[in-house]
Amino acid sequence: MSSISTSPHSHLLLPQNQNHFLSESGTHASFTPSPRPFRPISIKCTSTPAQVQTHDPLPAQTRAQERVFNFAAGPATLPETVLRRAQSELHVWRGSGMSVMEMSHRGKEFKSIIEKAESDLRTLLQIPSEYSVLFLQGGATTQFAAVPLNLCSPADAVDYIITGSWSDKAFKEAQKFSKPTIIWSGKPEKYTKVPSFEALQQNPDAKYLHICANETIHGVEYKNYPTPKNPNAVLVADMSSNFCSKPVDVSKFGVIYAGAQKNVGPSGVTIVIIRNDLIGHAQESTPIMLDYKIHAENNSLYNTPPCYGIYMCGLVFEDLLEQGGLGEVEKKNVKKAEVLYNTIDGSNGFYKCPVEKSVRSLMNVPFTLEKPELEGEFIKEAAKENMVQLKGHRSVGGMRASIYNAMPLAGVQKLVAFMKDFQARHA
Amino acid sequence: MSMATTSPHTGLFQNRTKPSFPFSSSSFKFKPTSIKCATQLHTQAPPLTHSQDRVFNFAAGPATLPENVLLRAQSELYNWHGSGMSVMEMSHRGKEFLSIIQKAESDLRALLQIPPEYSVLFLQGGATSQFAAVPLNLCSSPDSAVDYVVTGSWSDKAAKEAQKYCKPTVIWSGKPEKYTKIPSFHDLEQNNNSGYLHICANETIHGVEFKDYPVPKSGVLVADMSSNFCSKPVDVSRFGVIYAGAQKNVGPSGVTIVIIRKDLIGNAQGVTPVMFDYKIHDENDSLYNTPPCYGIYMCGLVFEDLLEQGGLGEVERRNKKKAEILYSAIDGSKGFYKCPVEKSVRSLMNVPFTLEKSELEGEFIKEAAKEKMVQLKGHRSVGGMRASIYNAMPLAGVEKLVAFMKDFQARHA
Repeated sequence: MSSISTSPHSHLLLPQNQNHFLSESGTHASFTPSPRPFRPISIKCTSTPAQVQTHDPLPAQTRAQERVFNFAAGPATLPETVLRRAQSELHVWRGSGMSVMEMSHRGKEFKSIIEKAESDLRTLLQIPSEYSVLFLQGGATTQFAAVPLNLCSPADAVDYIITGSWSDKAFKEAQKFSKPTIIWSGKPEKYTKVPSFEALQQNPDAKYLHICANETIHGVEYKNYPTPKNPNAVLVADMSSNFCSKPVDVSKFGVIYAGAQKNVGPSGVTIVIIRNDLIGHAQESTPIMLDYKIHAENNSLYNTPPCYGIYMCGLVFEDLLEQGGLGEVEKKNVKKAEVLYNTIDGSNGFYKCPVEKSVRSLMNVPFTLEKPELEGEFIKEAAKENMVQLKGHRSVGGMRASIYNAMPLAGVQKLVAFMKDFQARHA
Repeated sequence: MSMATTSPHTGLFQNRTKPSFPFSSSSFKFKPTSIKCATQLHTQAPPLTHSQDRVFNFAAGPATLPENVLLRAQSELYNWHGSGMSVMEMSHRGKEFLSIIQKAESDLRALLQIPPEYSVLFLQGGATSQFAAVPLNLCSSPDSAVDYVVTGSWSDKAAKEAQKYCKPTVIWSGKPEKYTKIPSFHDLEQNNNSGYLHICANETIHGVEFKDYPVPKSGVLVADMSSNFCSKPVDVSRFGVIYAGAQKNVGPSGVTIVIIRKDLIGNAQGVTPVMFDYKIHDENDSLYNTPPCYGIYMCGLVFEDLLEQGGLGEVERRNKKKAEILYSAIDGSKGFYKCPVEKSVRSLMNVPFTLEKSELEGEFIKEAAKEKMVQLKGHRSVGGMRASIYNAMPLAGVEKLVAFMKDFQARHA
């Protein structure tokens, strides 16, 4: 088969994307429901390439404003329109006379920012009114402790399904604060499957059933969710790496938690969505910063929240709504993933993804080369073509392309074209 | 007096000079590839600038940041140093972010002259998380005795949180005198077997600041320095642990810095959450999980800026001058304005004051805001006014406030 070659000048095709983003931004500006006129004030310094004086010449393929396609697993690529907007108002936010980073978290400006972020998130995920939304710190790892500390006593049984490294870590942490049982583990099959829910042997007394909705490292994703057998138990999900990538029926869960740094913002913000009746039962030894009641009662402002990160999440939520909401976002994600998985599966074994097809992640695509000795070369060549961070997690090896919401289709198409070309040159 | 005005284009004249320091790390070489826009070379440290469209922000935290830091962050938000991505998008394990966090740590070590036997951790959760993390890590058992000196709301909260994890004693409290004093160290009745003595170096709400530090009879000295961190030189070797939320003097909210002597690491209680275990963070260079990357980058820019200003000795001189101007205006107002804090421990960072005619306080705050001096309302638990004049508040801001105060007094005497 003939391969589509990618030239060093393929980036010249990006201006078309740039135009698309710019026009999208133009549309965006006119529809922003801002409580005050949007008045970006920034001092920009521009110079033509001929005027650039530097003692450290940039790589030939890199220019100051050229962006790479960043396949990092988290922190990860953010929507370009969001970055541009944040940049335009970093110094002075919308006539406030100060940066978002400088605002009192109790002032009216920041309150409007966090309230709008929460409101837009509720719209995106159709979060029922009986749930609280918390903007916290500490990452999903802190929630590995906070969930059992808030939901059960040290003697309580809880169930964990282990589909990869992250649910395994969550289980281990829960041992400090509860009596967790692993009711199923994908480790024997190297985390390539999700269990059949009918066959699960759940504890009849378990307080909650914990899953990791998408395993970032192994690329395994739940497409639907189990129901706890104990009618008083709740389903708890770590959704860090597929949060806001598709619609979710929040009412099936007692708690959803997610680090923001993959799909919805920069690192340093952790979102917790929790049913209100589950709040207020923390163990006595719970640190105040891990007590959901404290944060719910104080609207996430008990102490100083990660203000700038929350503002960034707010811009992303707004952008997702403008894209048409999560149904539309999921369509894009399905298409992107399909393009990549088809290339892997159609490579006659040159590339392989070990995950069972029915639970392959839309977000994290791990793959290996039939000839592993070529993997280093693959990664280096891709980087030269401005496709970076394709190396798989150190515990797994191979390659991993993280194609979160903000990775444009063009990035996946470029990767796929490169993969075909690479195969043609090394078959 | 005439008020110096800055033009909207002042930022264009910022030129970054990098004095060499003997403390720079040899483990890596920072090679900035950003394109600088400069039409004029300054041999002096750049002054704190103030664009016309910006207010003077006296908020207590988050608080004003150096304008040149904000402008630099803005210029490279979209594409950092030709990397093709924002700092917000970088893998925390990639070489770009590693260089950012390593330089931030290196510059902080230079600023505070942190001895090599201390670890520097960049964490999340604010100082409030450290209220739990300190006893969880330093007290090997829940029966351990520890001492707390309570000079305001924040040290009080720290003592209360510690009750979950150890046996804290409040050995002195300024509450009876409404948190306007710091105890004489000789009179402190410390526990003979205390694991640590905890202080809050500067109480943000009440404006009370330690100018010197007590010596524990047993155990180590632990200080919450959230609201005066990097505002003056500190002899780090006198402390076992220093912790500080970044959002007052050194960056945006969401970053908490812990400086801890290494021999104190590795004894956490069994119930310590992994994210509260200093050993985990120390062994993983603060990258055990995803750190607050953009906040750390911002702190790094601030540290660099503080070094360019000449380091913390120079910074302290400026802070003293600013505070002196404001306290002199209060004390010279013949009672129209009052600051209740004992003079020897008045904070350089947070200046609380009230009006003799308290019914004018609302008007004062509103008028000041119209003059673009915002967030002067005191903490809800104290009332009155509070001007937080951290490192990044320019002298011009304090001068403007003082001129306004004198004018306000003249119009309402």
